Amino acid sequence: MFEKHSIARIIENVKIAKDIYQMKLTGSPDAFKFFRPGQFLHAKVPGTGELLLRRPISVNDYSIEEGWVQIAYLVIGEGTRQLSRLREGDKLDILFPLGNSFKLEEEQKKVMLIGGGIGVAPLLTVMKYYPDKEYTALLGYRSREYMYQVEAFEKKADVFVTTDNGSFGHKGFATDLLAGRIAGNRPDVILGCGPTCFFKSLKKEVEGTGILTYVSLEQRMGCGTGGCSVCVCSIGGENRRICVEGPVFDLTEVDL
Amino acid sequence: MSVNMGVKIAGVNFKNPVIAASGTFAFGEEYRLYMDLSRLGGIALKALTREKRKGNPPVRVAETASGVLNSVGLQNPGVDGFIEDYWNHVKKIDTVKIANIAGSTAEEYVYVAERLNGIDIDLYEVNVSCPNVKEGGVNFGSDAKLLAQVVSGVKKVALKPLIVKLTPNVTRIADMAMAAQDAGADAISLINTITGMAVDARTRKPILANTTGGLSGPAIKPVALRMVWEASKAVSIPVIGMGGIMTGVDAAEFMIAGAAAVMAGTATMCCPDALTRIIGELEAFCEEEKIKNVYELTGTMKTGSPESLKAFGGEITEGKPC
Repeated sequence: MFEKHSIARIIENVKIAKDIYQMKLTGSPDAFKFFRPGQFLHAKVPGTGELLLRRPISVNDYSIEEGWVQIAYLVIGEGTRQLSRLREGDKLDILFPLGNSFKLEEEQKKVMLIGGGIGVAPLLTVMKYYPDKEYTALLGYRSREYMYQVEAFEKKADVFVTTDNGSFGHKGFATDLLAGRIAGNRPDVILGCGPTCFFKSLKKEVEGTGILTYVSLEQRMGCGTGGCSVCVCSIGGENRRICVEGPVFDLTEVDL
Repeated sequence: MSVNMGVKIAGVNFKNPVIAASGTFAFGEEYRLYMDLSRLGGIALKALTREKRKGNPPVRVAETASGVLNSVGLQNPGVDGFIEDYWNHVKKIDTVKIANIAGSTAEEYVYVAERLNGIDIDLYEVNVSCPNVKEGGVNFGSDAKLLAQVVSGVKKVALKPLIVKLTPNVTRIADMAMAAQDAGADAISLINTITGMAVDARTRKPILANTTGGLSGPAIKPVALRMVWEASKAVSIPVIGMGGIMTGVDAAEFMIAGAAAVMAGTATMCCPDALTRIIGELEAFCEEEKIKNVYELTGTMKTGSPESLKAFGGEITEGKPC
């Protein structure tokens, strides 16, 4: 058994785009060794104050050898604002790694990654964990100023960027490009992460293509350990806990 | 000096007075990763109903100042599903196991208790206080007659001692505590969550899909302490106190106010290993206070002396609910 609950130390905490921060952490080497792409980190808001619940955050990079993980988060409320104020050397109470992960089979060679907004973050770790695949990445952002980690994707993937307002790349959503890309070069599997409306469009786009599609869902979360049953989503008519049974689910089973 | 942490409630021996509160600890299994479950005083399992329940749609949780609102709505596999799929694991946990029973009708509670009679559960906790379901739940707990009807019905068939879990959403908690005692409860536990609501000002929508939910956490601790104190004055059966316990000293405060044991739930939502920390802190508190047996704390609150109150022209309530 390894300790999933630990105190990590911050190596770096920087702003990488409008409202988006990236934090690099070092901590329990055992726990960090077990990380798989798609798993998340549950961070306690620093201080003992009004905010009791942890914040579930995606990992966008890691190094098992060097013993660090990097998370990317959108500053959206008081909790994430407090996280953004942490500095190098500060401590962070974390549960890590949590949840299931994106899994790629040997025969799945062509992989399409599709992300919207902060949902772009966790997809980056897939390419690191499974380096011998052929990747295409469709990345959707609100506008140019919200764009992040595009260059990191470009190192290993064919990248297509969209912005809602057309300030960079294609004007519209990442899912708009899907049909065209599939027609040109059909992937063996699609991995996606984004907001609920994103999943609705994604489901519509992949329906009938027969391409396996896995998505990482988000929901307001409590314990992160399966005890409180608040972070559910409807999967095949059943309420399933995103923190332990997810966050990754087969899109065909997700009720949207 | 070593502290005797054991307590006895309704004839059942607990290793220590710190119990996992129902609804925040699932059926315990998930927490093996985070602690030695046999260190716990007990586990109150997630509420069980006759049929499997899907619970409420998400969003089910909202964070509030020093509190958490939830509206899970009794999602559970049903009592038979529990016995079939979960009991084999749960029975191996070396601590007191408390089954939390809920229902929409008095008959449903009886059914669940009868089914549980067949397995080796230590106590039943009759949940007449869930605020997140349309039928039953808190409706039973906020009407003394209905409460008595449910409790006496379960008592008739139950082969295990009964704890009745009370709701704070009532005008006089002492009346409910007495109704539970008169109907045959062997102990009472309180408080369940306080009904509350969170609103998103931007969208003008409630945050919870169920609109309202149950508030827990340190935000409700003063209300819980007051109610534990009032209830424990009103009955002779043991009281299990809960509501915002995050530390060992919080646990001690509830015991001093009248509780024989405590439950913690929201603390686990913040930190999966909170319960074992609380047990350690409570033991350390007893050592510091030179208390040999933790049960000696129960009901030892020193209220203001009549003389000091008179000096200010105050009314003397002498620990009675006013």
